[in-house]
Amino acid sequence: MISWKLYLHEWRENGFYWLLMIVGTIAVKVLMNFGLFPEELFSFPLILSIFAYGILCTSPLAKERKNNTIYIKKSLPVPGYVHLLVKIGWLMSSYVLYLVFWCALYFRFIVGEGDTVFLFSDTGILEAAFFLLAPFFGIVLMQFSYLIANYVAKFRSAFSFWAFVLTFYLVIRIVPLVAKVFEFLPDFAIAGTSGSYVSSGFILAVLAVSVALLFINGKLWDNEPAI
Amino acid sequence: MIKRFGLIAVMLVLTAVMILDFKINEPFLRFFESMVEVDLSARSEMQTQTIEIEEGERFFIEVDESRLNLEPTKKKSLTVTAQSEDAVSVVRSEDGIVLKVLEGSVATVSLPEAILPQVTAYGASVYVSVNVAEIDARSSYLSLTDVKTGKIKAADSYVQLTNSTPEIIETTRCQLEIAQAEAKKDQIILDATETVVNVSSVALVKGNAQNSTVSLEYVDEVDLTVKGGTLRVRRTENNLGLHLEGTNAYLELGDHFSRITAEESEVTIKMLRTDAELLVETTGTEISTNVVGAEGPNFSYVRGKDAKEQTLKTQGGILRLYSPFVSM
Repeated sequence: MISWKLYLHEWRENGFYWLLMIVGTIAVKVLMNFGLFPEELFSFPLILSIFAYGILCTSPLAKERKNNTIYIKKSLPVPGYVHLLVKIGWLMSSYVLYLVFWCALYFRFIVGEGDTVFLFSDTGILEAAFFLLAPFFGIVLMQFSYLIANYVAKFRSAFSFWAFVLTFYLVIRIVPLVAKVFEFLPDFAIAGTSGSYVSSGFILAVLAVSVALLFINGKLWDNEPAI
Repeated sequence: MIKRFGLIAVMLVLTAVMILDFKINEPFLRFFESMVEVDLSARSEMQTQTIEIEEGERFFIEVDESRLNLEPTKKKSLTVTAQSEDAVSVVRSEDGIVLKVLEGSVATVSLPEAILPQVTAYGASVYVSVNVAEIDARSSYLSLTDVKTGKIKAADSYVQLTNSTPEIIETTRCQLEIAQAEAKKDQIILDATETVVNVSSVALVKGNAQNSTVSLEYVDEVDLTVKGGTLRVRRTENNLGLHLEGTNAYLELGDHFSRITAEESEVTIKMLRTDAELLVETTGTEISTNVVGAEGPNFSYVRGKDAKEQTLKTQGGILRLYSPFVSM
């Protein structure tokens, strides 16, 4: 229940940016209807939203510190990873909502009139795994880079970027090793190719590393150094 | 303090390891290898043989119930790679060289640029990324990438063209998918019979379609005769020249130049621009429209000074003309 309240708090704190994207997307559509915006660029708001969400990955964390709400959050009887998971949950759910809105608004451009719409193709599980796992991993990695930078007093942004690169390197080295553990699991065939598969072990390995990183982030959140 | 400097020390060491690792190994490659697995078992025992061929000598390939890859090579010699030497047979005759890929085999032919093969496929999967003289496929899967010459004939097959503009494509009972990946500046000449044709991002599409289902998107110019079947044109850029006979057609018209004649066809036209001009001449045609200004069986609908001329001549059949901006 407390997680739900934290989730609603995220909406209150960051919902404005989401609303701004929605308004921007509607504005583009209105301009398009009046012929003031080229129809070919219908995916422009979506591309912009991807960049916006890239920034939003860590800005809610920075905002907590800036507003001093981090100390209120820490006083709650909730482990650190829950706080971070709630932030990830908000980022992902709000983006899915935005995507649904964007698709509804530009439906005519995405699929033709009378065309059959398939939400997922025959490799739907694979697509779902990638579309959910890739952002989850990305956000966790960015949160880690941000939190680890709290250990230094100066040049935090540069340090954060350095930590991001190193962690990413470690992940690409660890994932193939972990993937071997799950080698016995069946693979997913890639549609349109013959004899090419995505290893389900790989997907599980990325998931395992992401979850491990989330718990490490939780510890970093709980034991933030006093600098 | 210890934590801070310890962390920085660890990160420095890790950075050094990372730089060395990237120089010596290929971590990204290992990473992606662990993601995508390719069944290499069939390739492990591949054998390559070189075929001597003179410039100008004709080269025929016959594929039966097999898989054939045609790849370009910068070398001057022609090589064939297959799982065994028995998988392919080479026969020399007065007409030229005939390469036969035997049933159930996988063969890759690497061709110098000057040699244009003539391929006959039956029940085969053929992947082509070189220029050809001719391909005749039956009950096959045919994939062409960056093919700029040749004549493609296909029956009961699936044909996929990516960034390819052969001289003519003749299809019967096929599914034909055409997409230009690069700048769309080439033309496609079609002769389709009972074929499902999907074309997108091509400069010019011309030819004939009989009893086919044709869908065109992002095509600059169209010059097509469609007899029977259905036609769907969306997002065309410039010139639209159509002759329809007994066809069910859905056309989206912007402000581009159009000249359409229809006989005993069911034509639905969506006017995308309210300032576009469409001149309609009909005889014995059932008409329904919500377009303001449209009147009677012989009407002209005129808006805007700069609109390009669009004419429609229909004889018999049904004409539905509507604007999405006006309620019905």
